[in-house]
Amino acid sequence: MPHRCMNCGETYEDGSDKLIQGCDCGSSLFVYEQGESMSEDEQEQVTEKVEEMMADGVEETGDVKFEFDLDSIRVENEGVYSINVSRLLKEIPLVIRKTEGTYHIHLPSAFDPSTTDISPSELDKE
Amino acid sequence: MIGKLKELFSDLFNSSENEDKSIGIYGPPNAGKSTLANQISKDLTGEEMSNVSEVPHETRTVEKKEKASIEANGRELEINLLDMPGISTNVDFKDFSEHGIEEDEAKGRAKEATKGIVEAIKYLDDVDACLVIFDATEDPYTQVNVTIIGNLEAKDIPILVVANKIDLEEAEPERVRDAFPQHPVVEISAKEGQHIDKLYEEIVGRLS
Repeated sequence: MPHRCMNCGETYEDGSDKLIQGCDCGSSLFVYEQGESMSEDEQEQVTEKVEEMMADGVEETGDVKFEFDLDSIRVENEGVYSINVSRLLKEIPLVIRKTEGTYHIHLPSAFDPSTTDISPSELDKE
Repeated sequence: MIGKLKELFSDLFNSSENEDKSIGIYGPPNAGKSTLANQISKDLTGEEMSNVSEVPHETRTVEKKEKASIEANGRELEINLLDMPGISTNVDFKDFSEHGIEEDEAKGRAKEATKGIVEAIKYLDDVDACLVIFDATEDPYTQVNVTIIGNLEAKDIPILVVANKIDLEEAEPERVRDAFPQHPVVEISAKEGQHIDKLYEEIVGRLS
């Protein structure tokens, strides 16, 4: 059951017509799920590694990368932005990542998700 | 799905018969949103509404044209047309500076474009229907396009997909149809004004 609908969670096999026509709920977004699960030993190793990385404040090593779906807008550099469109489409506060580990929480949107006017200085690199 | 959409459009119209319909033009940068907005606005009101340029993210705030009246098949519909900033996952000032724009101005534009994307998404709460326009010479099956369509579906906003730039030799509008088979697709050239009448027919047919 590798294809899971991102809207309702229904799963479909490879080659299912629904992947092309769209899910019964109307959505056409699917996420591919890995079929094989890790052994207990492997899981332990990954857990240890992740704990180490968190303790060291590292987001990426040779074989493990953290993907935090926290920031709505990431200031990569002055004038260079990555935008998390999926997150912006949700009614949640805007979070602007200035540098690694530095986040700016847009307070108006935290109180009222429909208030998303950001001032230019909020997009400055710190 | 098309039946369901028709029902939605029909419900929309019946529930608020005397109110104008707000139609948002959504899509990735450089798909031709402003060219289409101008084409429609010129047809309906005699005036253009947005700047058009080769530089991506030329539209960085929501442009509005209110109370434009569409006529097709003997029926009339009053609409508010909203030309949206292009939605993308990356904004880089180099996209502007490579078109000869000074670095400082390019960085300012990048900020405005980023704000514009947030604004465009916020406006989804205020539109009654969306024209989602894609460049038919490009691969339609991108993360941004799929995300836009998927979220409009989740929000139950009626969609009309527009495959633009069919005047170009390399255009393959059937790829747009294949990518989003659950939605009606109109093939047009906004620049040349090709098939705009079909677009009006679809809008009026579905909204009235």
